[in-house]
Amino acid sequence: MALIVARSPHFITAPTLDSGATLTLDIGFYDSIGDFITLKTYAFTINTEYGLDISPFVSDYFQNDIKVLIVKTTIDGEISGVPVQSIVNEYVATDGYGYYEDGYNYDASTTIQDKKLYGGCNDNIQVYADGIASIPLFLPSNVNGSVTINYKNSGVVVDSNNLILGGVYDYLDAPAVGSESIVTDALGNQIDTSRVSVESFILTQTRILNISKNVSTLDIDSIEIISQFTNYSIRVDADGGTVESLQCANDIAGGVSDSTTHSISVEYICECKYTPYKVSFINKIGVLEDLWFFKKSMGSLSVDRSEFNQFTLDSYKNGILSNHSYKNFNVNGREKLTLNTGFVPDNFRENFRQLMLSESVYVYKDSLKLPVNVSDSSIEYKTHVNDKLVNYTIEFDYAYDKINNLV
Amino acid sequence: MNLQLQIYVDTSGSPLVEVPIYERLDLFDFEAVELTSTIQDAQDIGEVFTDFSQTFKVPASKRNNKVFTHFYQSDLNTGFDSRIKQRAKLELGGVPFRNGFLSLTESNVKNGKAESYSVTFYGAIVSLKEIIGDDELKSLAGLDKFNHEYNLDNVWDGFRIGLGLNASNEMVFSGDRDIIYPSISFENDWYYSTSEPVGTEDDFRQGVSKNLRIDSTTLGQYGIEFNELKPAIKVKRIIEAIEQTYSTIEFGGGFFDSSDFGELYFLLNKNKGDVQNLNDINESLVDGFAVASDTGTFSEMIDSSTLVLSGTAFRYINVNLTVETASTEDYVIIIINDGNEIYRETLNANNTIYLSQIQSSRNGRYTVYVGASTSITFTKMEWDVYYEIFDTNFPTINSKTYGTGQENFTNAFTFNIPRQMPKMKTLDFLRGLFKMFNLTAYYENGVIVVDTLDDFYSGGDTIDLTKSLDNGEITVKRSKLYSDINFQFAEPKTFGVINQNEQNQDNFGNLEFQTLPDGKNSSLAFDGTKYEIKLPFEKGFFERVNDQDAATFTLTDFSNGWIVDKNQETTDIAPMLFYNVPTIIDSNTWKFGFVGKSNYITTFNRGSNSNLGASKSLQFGAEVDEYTGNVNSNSLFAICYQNYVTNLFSINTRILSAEFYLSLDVLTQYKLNDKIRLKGKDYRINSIKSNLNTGKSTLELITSYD
Repeated sequence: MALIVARSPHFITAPTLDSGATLTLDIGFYDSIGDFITLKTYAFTINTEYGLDISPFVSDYFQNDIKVLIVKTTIDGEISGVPVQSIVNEYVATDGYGYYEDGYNYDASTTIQDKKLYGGCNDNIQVYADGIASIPLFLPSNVNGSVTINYKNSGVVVDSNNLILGGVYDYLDAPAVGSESIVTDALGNQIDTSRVSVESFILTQTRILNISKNVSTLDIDSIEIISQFTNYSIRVDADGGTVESLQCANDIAGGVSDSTTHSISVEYICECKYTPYKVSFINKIGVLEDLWFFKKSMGSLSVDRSEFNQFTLDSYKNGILSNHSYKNFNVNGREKLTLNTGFVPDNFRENFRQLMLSESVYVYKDSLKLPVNVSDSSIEYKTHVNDKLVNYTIEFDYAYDKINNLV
Repeated sequence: MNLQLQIYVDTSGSPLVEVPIYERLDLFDFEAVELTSTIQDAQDIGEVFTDFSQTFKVPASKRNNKVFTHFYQSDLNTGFDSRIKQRAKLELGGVPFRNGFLSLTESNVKNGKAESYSVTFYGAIVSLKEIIGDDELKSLAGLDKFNHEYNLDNVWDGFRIGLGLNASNEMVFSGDRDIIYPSISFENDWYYSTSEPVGTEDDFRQGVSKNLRIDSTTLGQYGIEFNELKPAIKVKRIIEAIEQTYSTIEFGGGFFDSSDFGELYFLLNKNKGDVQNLNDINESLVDGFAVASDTGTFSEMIDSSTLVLSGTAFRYINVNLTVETASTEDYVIIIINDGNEIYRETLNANNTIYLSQIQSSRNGRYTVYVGASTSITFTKMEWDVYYEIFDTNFPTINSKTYGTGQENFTNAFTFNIPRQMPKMKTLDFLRGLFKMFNLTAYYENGVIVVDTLDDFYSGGDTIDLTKSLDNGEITVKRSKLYSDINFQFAEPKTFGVINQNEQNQDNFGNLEFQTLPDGKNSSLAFDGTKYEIKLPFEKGFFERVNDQDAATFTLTDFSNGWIVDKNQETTDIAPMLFYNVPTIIDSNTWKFGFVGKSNYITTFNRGSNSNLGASKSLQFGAEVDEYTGNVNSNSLFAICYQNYVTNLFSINTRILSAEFYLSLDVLTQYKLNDKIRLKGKDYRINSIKSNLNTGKSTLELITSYD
């Protein structure tokens, strides 16, 4: 199943059909019992030469409680005046994007599967010594299999999590997550990993998972992800089919795809002087990813106000001198936060590229996840060759007025 | 705090859908939304229906994209219909501020991505023009029910008392006087002579000059003939028809409900001369449909004759009318859509008429007329409505049938009110009424409230804005002056008015308001130009009939109008309004006859420029009441304009323009009839221009005259 990253165009084409062909676009998601919930249906006349970019229509439906969507397209038309069978396709969609270099109708699903479902943008992660290691996973396809996350020190596995995937769509079955790990879905809702019964999590929002583990005592230096899918399910998915969650089918097809791993190196950062800030942003494939800023942070407030020349004669004639002749009103302000990363590897440029290009950025402060916007409009990529030690300074605007005025 | 503006737009698809589905729009933080509100601009006092409109941009955010369904993408076959002004409302901090309409005009796409939408918000009153458009009075719904057979009995009843609807919606003799036949002749010259023989008639122009006097031996033989009379409809019924026709218009306020207004009538004079049956055969409205409605097809039989289709026009994939009769006689089926005849065909036996073969898209109001040269019984007439819910490959089609029982057509001349309406746009009619009575309209609680300007201003409160005034800069200017203000009716076409003007060197009914009492050198004394307030209505001229042969000038109890030109030939005139004064004739003294009725005329509906009791006049200036002979000073100017206009010309009048910082409370609560108190002085609001993001407002205030 292809992945649509809806901030970039995704064209649906029907080049072989006569003009006048129609496209029906259903946007929705699967609920907990596998029913497709339609949020919106659009009907188009499709341009058979250039196709139709459906991304803007899909993009509208990413909201606070929906981070992953299922998109169904049905093309009806004729060839030389003879009606042909409807062309039906189903896609997973996120609020990610593709680069120009990625080409036309960029589909990141293959890359994600090659990275064993790892959804982060960098294979190096920094973890605050007292903090949590978060591993974002993304399941673009309907596959059966499992994901094992090994936490390693000098090549030795010191702890691990095992997630069993399967079913028609993404589901977690009889999870066996290691101690002190928390599994959350795309919305940040914790998934109950204590279940042992065969119960399907086929919610679309569980296509994005985040495995958070307190690694402060493990002293790990790498994380290894092993994803294994049945040959049967991979084959069906590659053929554009729908994988049925049938144990007998798995038994007959048997086997697993491969057992190669994807490794992520982990660097602990201790910071005694400054208060580290964790920033999260929706990355290129539409997954929430963490980025730590360990060094100096600065806050500021800018204030907007209006002023007018107020009539005060009535009080002044009574001897009251304390009334404002020039009166401020409509006073409000917005705060800024300037953060420094501390020293980071050269390849963190990709993290900052994606941070700069993100439309959804959050900073964690006093246990609150607060919305911010990156206020810098440019960034200079740094390298050890040019800059010796690489530090990035990023300025954020809090995405709200300091005085609460929401109505 | 800064104001928090919220804009909601109705996404139900049509302003005609009863329950709107409001969606909130995202707004740019830098785009200032400013609205100017005014009720009657002192700069242009003749302009009515003044309200605000403002164009601004909103971001092409996800929320707005959903509302406007990516307007820039024309391949989309469904979605927000930018051709239609959709209902909208503004709120400030969650508090209702203004209702109106919003139109989507353009979208700005940058580098392949939609960036913004341009929308225009219209105040509800501005939209009155848009809603009514160029529709004519003939297209108003609900006037059909006043149709009645044009015969001796009905005209006689309408002449002496009136006609109205009974509980079964049938037109009968009624003191409600919805329809009257006023004492107006359109061709013949009427007079009264005691010395001439009864029944004296002489050829006169195209008609006759006739003595209306009869005696006890000639009752019913001489006098007024019923086909000399044309009906008039109570103006209040036209106002109600406007409300019925346009579901978003509902007039409130006291003016249209006042008893004075209830005496005002509109003459149903479509053509010159006597009443004409406008077609070769008699036609009558089919009014036997059962009243019903259906949400699945957005259709409703709102009364026994009118089918209303309020869904999306192109989704009515078909609407069929089936007519069945056992008769072998030819008959004519006429279908009227929003006042326009869209189908007229001579048919025989059973037939089904497919509107899809007549109109490319279908909605609005439909009525059916039958015509024939003989009486016919129809066993069935039936509307079948088919509405497509989705236009996908497998559409869902809802259907609904509205039928009559047996429908009998009687071959008689029906006076068809809509088709006999003078040619006039509904908006011009309203505009004329507003100018005539100096009415003002504003939108309040979902209703367009109509009041005279004086009544409107008397209903306001006083708000002290001294502390909100920015003392920094205030502009004080004089009001706009005119050397003359001419209040005029349409160019007179009738003999009575023209003759009166020639004899008196006057403009009967009109007023030239000059700024100096003696009317001299006003243009030197006062700066400014002439200003005209011209009504689209003909000035009526009525004359009390005297006994021509009495030794001394003796007035009878009868009075009439005479619609002929200056050569006393039949003539077309502009639409005419008049007051109806039910009048008694002492038949012991004055013996007026009505052909076909063996009674003297003892009561009749008298057309007049003064209402009953002479508390109101339809003259702009003081004129002699033609019936009583007394000067009626309660003119349109005196009652409706004098306070306002004289204030504009007062030596103390100033227009003050200043900036204020209005709180949310003031912005959401003020009404345009409130007085604004500044440093102890009271002012009227001429206009308010408010920045709805900051509350910063420019007020144009005019010194208060009361």
